[in-house]
Amino acid sequence: MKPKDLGTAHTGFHDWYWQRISAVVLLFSIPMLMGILLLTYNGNISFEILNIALTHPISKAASILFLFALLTHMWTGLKVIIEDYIHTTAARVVVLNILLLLLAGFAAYMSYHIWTELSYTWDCIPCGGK
Amino acid sequence: MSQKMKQSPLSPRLSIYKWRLTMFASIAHRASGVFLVFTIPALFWLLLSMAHGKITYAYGLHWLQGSFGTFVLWLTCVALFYHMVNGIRFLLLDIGKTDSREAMKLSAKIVVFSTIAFALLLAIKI
Amino acid sequence: MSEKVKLEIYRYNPESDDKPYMQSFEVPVEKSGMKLLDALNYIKWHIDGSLTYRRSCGEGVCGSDGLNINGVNGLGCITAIEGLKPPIKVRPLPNMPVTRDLVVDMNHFFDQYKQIKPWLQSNTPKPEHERLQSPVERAELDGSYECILCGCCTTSCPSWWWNGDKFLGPAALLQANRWLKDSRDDAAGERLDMLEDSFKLYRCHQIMNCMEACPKELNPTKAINDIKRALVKRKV
Repeated sequence: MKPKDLGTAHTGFHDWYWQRISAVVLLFSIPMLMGILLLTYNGNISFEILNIALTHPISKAASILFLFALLTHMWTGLKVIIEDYIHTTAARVVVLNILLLLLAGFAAYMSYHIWTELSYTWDCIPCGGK
Repeated sequence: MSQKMKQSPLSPRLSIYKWRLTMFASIAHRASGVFLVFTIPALFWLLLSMAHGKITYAYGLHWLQGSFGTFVLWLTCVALFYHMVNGIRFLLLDIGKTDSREAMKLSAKIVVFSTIAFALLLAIKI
Repeated sequence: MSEKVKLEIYRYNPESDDKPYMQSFEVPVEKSGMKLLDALNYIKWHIDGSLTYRRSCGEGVCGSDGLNINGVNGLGCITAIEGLKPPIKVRPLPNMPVTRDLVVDMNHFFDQYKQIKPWLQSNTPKPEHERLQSPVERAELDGSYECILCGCCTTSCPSWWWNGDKFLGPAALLQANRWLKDSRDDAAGERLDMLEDSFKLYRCHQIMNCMEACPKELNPTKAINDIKRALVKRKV
């Protein structure tokens, strides 16, 4: 059957635009994350230094900014993939909203994690506590 | 009637199309992106948890330095390297640089082969 | 005894075949520089008259014989036999309804071309003679006007394979960009309005199969990026 031209939805620009803006933010911030991780892995960063470096208010703010750039990039990237491979509107609506919920949950949890300096004891992993 | 009802077959597409390097570069960008969606948030969470408590630091470091942790770290670095270098390639195309036919093919080569070199180098160094 | 080359050709006759299949042929290489279309003609004239394919000018101008040749789209009439690894696999353009053998239904492709309104839309009254362009303005159309609408690019695009009902595809978008660039056209705003769509335009993910396939060596990927930049300029 011949597909009809349903006109233009005027969407897509913002996904494309914010994917690129977040990409530029990540281009500078992700190497820092991986750098700190690799230095810690090699034993060059002790707990004391890591603790001071990542719980300073400025680095907390930077972590939040990084978190939201990461989430924006994940959302725009995954949305395009879902639109590419899932072809019924109903399935798209369900999957996109589940994804949105998961990302929002992750955003809330990670913001809390960063701000309250959540740590874990092995008695109760999910509830954290100092 | 039955002749008319018969639907024309769709000519074959992905199964027969020859893989070009630019096509590989694009799908690899997508594949590495999907992989990073899982590992980057997890590693970010791990690093923060390690910074927040001494016990978590010790356990986290133990896991990272184990063979599975090392492998995850290596694979994430490789996927990230590719996604970033090819991402720069895409950003340059977006602003209208390096977008001649030759530059598009050459940049795909550079991106893919530099990632292979990086993966090997990191495997030795890590 | 002349040299022979082996070909495997996609066959489908809707009246007698349930399913398409590949059929082997051997064709003598009569002269150096022999093109794939010559081999198809040899089969049709000397071996199997029922083999069906489109061709017209035979020299890469009309865009009738777009085919999938050893996995890559191209024109049969300008693709030399010599450069192809035998057995040469010849299939119709991908992701198209097959009418018969190598002939596909191009209606949807041309419908999408129509969607971008490929004609001059001008506000100024019709001049007595032609509408003039400076050499610089005319040069803006280089890389766009050469397109012969053979369909090699659009049918090579995975994004178009998965979402071809909405995604306009490289050929139509290259043409859309051609009219955006035309100094005589006054409908750029409406053209951009029509293109600003997640599916019509933004399905392009820089796969670049279109650029690799184009027999006229054009660059539809770049044309699509030009449109995206025009949208940024308008909006930001």
